[in-house]
Amino acid sequence: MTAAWMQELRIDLGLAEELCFNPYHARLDRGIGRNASLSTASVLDLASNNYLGLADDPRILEAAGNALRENGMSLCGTPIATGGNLLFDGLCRSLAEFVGLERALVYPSCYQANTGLFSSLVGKQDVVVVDQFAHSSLLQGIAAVGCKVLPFLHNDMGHLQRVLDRTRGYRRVLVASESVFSTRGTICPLEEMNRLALRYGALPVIDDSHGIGVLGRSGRGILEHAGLEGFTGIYTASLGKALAGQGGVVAGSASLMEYLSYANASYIYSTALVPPVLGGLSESLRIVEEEFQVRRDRLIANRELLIRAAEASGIVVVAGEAPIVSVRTGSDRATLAFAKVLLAEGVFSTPFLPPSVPPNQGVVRLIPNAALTDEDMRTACRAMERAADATSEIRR
Amino acid sequence: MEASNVESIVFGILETVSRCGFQVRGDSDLRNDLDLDSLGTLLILNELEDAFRISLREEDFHQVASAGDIVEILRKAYLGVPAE
Repeated sequence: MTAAWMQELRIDLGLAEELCFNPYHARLDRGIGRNASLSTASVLDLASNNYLGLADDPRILEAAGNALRENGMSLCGTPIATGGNLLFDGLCRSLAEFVGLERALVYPSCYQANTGLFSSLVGKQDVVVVDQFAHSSLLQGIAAVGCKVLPFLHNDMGHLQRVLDRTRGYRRVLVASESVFSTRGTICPLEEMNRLALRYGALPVIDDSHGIGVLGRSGRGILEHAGLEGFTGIYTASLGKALAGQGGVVAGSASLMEYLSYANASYIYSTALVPPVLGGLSESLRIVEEEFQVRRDRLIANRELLIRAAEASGIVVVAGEAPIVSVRTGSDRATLAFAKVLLAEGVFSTPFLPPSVPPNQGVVRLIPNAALTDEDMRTACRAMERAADATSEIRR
Repeated sequence: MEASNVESIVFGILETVSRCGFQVRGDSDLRNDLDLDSLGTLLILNELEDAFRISLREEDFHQVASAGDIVEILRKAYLGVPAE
């Protein structure tokens, strides 16, 4: 007999059913490139985080294939046991060098890295100060520790300082934020956040998942973007976005990484990334180092086209400096309706509803990746106009 | 402290944190009018602790729905301020 409480474990999909549109768990026929092939049609991919258009790059595919043939499918172990090999260590070194820190550890995912990291750093007598819009992985990692949590207003360094004034008396203080806020495209003023953290004896933690391979003069991420050399905090990032691989990285001082490599459960109790992913990522880093400028220029040009088209259509976009264009749709209904029309017009997007965004602050996110052509962008702009026509309440 | 002062401080903090752009009232709904999620509410509580120089128990505020609810709990359970 099923327990009675099992009846409570249900998701309300009423709105999706009413609109005959559920954008979540969409199933692609194959991989992504310029296009995403769904069972219904081939559509332009403005949904994935494939910023630089590297997901189907033949050089990465070849490197992944070579790594697979030379190392096998898996090392069938955790990094502290049999999961590390020359390829694994080589990627860790390359990543540390790429972001400009002493040592890096590669995790199975950045979500896992972020949720597990704080348990190795702080306890109940400590405090974590965190941006109010920080990613769920950071918030869940912090909440799991049971420490004091002090949120600060989004990217507001004046407020951060006031909050830091309240942290006296705690054993350890961390300040956590994201580099690029993925539903808004805003960028953390890390140089100032770092300066404030150091002034208060706090350890800064920055999640650069949407910044690595995107921000900075040569794509090295938020530390390069902020001009920070000798960053003494903790850096985390996803390897499954601009770098088109999988996994996460945690980087920082050699001594701290040495500690985490023995003490962090998320690292030592999970099977290490498999060789094809390691090989593909190593090649991806090499390509970013060589081709970043061209790919970034295309990405930025595509972003500008989308923003101009949105403004011309009277659409309110939430667009920071990062190459993310989020259409402010507000209600759950308008958010799903807008994404539905976009898909019907051949554009795959990502709608965000609560709890991913605060109530009534729904957005439809578009990432105009570097693989999209001028013709693709014209299609995307037309689709956005039609979606706005069909969802008139989102117009300013 | 008078009840109206408590209300004024609470509403001011709600307006600042939520960036709602309108004047908060007692019946302003934290979720539907001020778009506050759980972290936003936690931010409010921290600001209130700072403003009133008191220590709040988060569990006392789990059921709050409106700006007026916050004022009532503060007034009765923490500040001992009678209603006007």
